[in-house]
Amino acid sequence: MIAAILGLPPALPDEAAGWKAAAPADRYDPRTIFRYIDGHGEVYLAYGMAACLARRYAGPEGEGDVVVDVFEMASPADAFGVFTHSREGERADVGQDGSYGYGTLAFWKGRYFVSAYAEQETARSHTAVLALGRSVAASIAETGERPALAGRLPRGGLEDGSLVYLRHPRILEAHVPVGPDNPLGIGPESPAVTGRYRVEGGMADLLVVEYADPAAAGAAAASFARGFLDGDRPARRDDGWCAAGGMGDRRRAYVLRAPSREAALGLLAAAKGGAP
Amino acid sequence: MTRSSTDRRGFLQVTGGAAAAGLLGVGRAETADGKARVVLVRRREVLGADGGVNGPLVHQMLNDAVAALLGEKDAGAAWRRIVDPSDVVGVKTNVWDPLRTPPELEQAIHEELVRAGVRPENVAVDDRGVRSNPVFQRMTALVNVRPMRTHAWSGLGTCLKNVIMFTDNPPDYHGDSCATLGAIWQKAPVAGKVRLNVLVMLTPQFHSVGPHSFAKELTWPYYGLIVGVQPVPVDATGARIIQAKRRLHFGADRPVSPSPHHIEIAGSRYGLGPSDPARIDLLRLGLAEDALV
Repeated sequence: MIAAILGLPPALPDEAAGWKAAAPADRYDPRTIFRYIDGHGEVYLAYGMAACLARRYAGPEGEGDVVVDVFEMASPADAFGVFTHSREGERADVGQDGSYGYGTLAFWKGRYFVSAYAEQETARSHTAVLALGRSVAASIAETGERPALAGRLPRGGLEDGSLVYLRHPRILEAHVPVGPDNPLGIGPESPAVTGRYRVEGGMADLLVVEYADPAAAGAAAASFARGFLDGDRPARRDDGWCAAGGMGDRRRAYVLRAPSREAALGLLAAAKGGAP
Repeated sequence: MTRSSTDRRGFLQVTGGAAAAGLLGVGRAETADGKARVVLVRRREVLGADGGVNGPLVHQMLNDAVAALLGEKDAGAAWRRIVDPSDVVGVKTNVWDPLRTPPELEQAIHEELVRAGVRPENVAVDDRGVRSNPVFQRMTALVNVRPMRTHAWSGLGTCLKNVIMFTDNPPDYHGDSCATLGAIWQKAPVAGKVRLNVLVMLTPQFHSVGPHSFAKELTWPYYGLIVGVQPVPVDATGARIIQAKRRLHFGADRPVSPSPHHIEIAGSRYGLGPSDPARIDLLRLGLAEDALV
């Protein structure tokens, strides 16, 4: 009932696979989340976190606790985004996309991003983490669309699990070194998708940003050119070659850390050519 | 206790005027050839079978490292160069729950400060309360101690980053992967007060996962402490160990992300010591196996 009033999924189960809740769930909001997960709370705020429900489960004798966190994000796109930022390990068939690694299950469904974390990873806790996650996933009635922008990255050469959707410069900095002062103009109205690519001679980053209007796209293009290019031509920095180009009035593609000028231009052409 | 390099006591050059460190009795702990001395001390017995910390042994490791750092045979003499009885000393620790500074090490530092003559009421150990702690508010010296771990914004949680709790608003320093953390060391109340940096490498964390940024499998028993005067060479040495561990674990060169470039920038832009291994005099004590550096 309380969860329904809060607009959160109604069922953080009382128990699963031998793990039992020690107490009711705790609720955190954007102001109090830092009490719970310290500075890492900024990650969830960067994706528009509205609320977080957290519940701890005690395991059988000799097993560690499992902690389940349900984050209500601003939109399904944000839930997808924070999942892409956080995923680790192998794919897990939970929610709309899921991953499991190092004792942590992560998935998204609708507006919700969910994590189930075993403080001590064992075969039994693995089972419990999946059971708790699936129980929570089943209680979330809604589903959501992946952001269309995520489909704009070409698939050829894309490293598995490297696609990240974001709309905050701090998140971009965690994946691609673009330097200070948000030179690409990333923000709530200018979401981006980035991926790491296998290219001739090594690896490179491709970033596609969708700006609110042509003026914002133009300003970001000029900013990137000043910091990363030779005029509007590719240029080499300490960490590799950079290139950029337009994809219509509001969308731009940027390549960073490419091993050669040719690789940078090739990846840029692939981006401008569209997905598959 | 083994010492893998020759006794360099005679080579230690004590230089005054280290503005960022403010070490009248210690200088920058440089060798005659201008390298920054850093001590890596490791003892396998410091961790019990249950992962618990052997308090007397970690205390001994600390003292061995401090003595070696300053080229003193006696740890007491070294501590008396680090602090003066008139000092008011804040011990900036780190209490992040999954991987905190061991209380046994905090206690050892506290005891040595008092043994060196600092009045007990003039010593305090704190982390999140440093800005309101009365001892920290009138401190004349700082000892900076924290565990090494990966971090969402700075790449690595380092000695450099540990002083962020002295700022009005820590997120102000999160931009560009915390590139400007070194600036905190040039401002009150930190500037000129840090006498010693201790990077805890007993069970460092080499990767993060999930909202809690932690999994026990992402730590490993390294049994070490890295001790130095300037923060950059201490952190740079720890970063090399983390990177080496990541190569071993992942089976490929998977750099820490985001890049912990705040370490190099703190040296080049803010003068907090060298990050280039060629400019660091790494003195090793104790266990050599699997040192990764």
